[in-house]
Amino acid sequence: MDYRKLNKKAMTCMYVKTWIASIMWIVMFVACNILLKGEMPDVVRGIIYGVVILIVMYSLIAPKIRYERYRFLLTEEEFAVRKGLIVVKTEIVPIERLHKIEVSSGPVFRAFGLKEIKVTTAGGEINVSYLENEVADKIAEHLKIRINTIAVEERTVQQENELFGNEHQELQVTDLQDAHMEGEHGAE
Amino acid sequence: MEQNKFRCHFTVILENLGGVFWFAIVMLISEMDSTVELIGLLLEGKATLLEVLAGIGIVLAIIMAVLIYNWIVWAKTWISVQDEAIVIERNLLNRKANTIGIKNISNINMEQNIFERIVGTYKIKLDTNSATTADKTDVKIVLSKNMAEQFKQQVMLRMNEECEEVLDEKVEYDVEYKAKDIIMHCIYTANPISVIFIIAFLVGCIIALNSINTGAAVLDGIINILGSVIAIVFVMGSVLHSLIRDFFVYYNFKARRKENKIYLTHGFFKKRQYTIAVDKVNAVEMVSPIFSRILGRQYVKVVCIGVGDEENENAMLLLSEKTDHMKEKLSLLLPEFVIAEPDIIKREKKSVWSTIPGAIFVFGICITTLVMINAFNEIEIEEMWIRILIATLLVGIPVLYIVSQILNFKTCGIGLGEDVLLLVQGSYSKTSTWIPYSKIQELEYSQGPILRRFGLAKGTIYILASMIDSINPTSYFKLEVFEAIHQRMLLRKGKK
Repeated sequence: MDYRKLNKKAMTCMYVKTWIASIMWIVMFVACNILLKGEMPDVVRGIIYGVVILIVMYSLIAPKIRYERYRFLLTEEEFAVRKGLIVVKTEIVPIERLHKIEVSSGPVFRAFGLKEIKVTTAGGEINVSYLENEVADKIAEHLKIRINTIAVEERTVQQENELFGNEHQELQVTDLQDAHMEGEHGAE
Repeated sequence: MEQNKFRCHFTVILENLGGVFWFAIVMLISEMDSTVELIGLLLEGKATLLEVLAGIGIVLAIIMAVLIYNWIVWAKTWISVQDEAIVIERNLLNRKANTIGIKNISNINMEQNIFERIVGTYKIKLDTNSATTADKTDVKIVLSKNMAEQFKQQVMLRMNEECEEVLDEKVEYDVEYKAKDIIMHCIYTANPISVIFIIAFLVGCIIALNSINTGAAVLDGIINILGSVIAIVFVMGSVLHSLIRDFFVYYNFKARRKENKIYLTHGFFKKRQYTIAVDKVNAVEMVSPIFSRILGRQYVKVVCIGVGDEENENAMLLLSEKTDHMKEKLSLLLPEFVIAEPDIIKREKKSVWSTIPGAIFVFGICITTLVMINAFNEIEIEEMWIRILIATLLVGIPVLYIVSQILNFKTCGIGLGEDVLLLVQGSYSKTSTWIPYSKIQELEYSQGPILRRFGLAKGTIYILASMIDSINPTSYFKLEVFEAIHQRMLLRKGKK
């Protein structure tokens, strides 16, 4: 039972997504700095420069670490994902309890040929992102087939239980009747 | 085949008007000065009757507008039970048809508030097995008693379930609580802060009365403190309400089990009647708030959709009981959850580091306060009781924090039963949650750098319930514990 790593394309996509967000933040901070140049105390300006440096460092390091830690697992019984930057979180969902499977891809994902799968149960949901198109489609298909198979298996077991349960009851009734008849004969 | 369409009982129009009616009363009271002035002007002949009526007319117009709107909504809303669904059509400006699959209905419950008891109607509450609407009742229908019984019977027949005569008062119940038991339950489950408030209030009253007795002008003293007492009584109102609310909610509590259903009824002002399908019970919680824990008692609540959705409402199965009595009564109502307690794995001692951030915060605040009081010498606190209060807080808060952390280590644990997981949480209070592995919807566990270093993890178990009950966080345990839960939750009936 081994967790699978993402394709290299996923790391590039992670970098692009992080950089887009980082650039937006940096532009906002720089704009604040220019607009409030005269009125801003030196301490505040220092904090802003510090935050900008942290954002740059984050956008250079974080995607690589995220990529190295990102793993997913698909078996006959479960769908799981392990991800995180500092805190690594493992989320596990039994396939039997899935209610909904959603496959989606935004503009950045489409540019890299990647998709995201969101599976929902009655109590929660997990997201597995940065999956190659073919892999995502195969996973979605596998999940659909497994949900149906599990439903059929459970129905069969239920029917068998009902059948054997009835037979068991009938056997008990027959035993009782036999015992009763034996009792009557014994009395005779 | 479509059945006859019907509407809610017409009294629902007045029931929905309740909020506006109270708004009008509040408006009238808050504008009492203007009203008295207006009547004075009328008596003096400085204002005409028409002018006075115009003022009252605005309030009446608002009530009328809401009344007419509610009447239209009532007149245009039709309910019908079709083959496999309940359809609620509302043909206002926007035409809307709400279809609820009968197979997906998890609960049909009945409720009666005071108004409904006067007019003889029942509110039928339908809940579906959906996580998205788990926090609220999906459909509420108000019908006359006979109609409500018929409707419930009709729906339950379609669900292939036997309809129990829950409204029959003569039925014998497995568990019944008398008024005395309910009062004791209120005491056992009282919020310690509320109790401290009440004790402080009583002590304050005694001190104030003593000071009056020693003084010469007794009457003046009483008049002086009367204003403060009225203000405090208003504050105490909410505290007292929290203490006695449960008495009215669980008044005349009765429960019984028949086949795969549990029937519950309770309530003084609002009479509630619940039917819980045993297979829809996703977990059972045994809760001991601080006083209950000290006195060795606990109450039992079930976690399922449809009961306990409303605000300030608990899906209570048993009120506060000693453990042996609780198990005895639980075996009558829900024997599926009377299980020998598995070995409890206690919270890992290595996780003691996790208490450090909280300690830094608590001690930091206390030390900063102390430093600030010393630094500003000019702020002289002359009143002795304020000094005592500050000293108590500065010593009490860190002590309470340390004790809570020690108790947390003693309380928190996890028991890996064969079919059921036992999760024990709490510090001063204690909550034991029994979750069948087959009801776990998702398992999540995480490790930060420190937890990885010690081979520990912290997790959350998700089940189908309302928002608060669906998330069950665990304490810190070895990674193997979560692996064991993982393996057990994947086992299922029918697996080949």
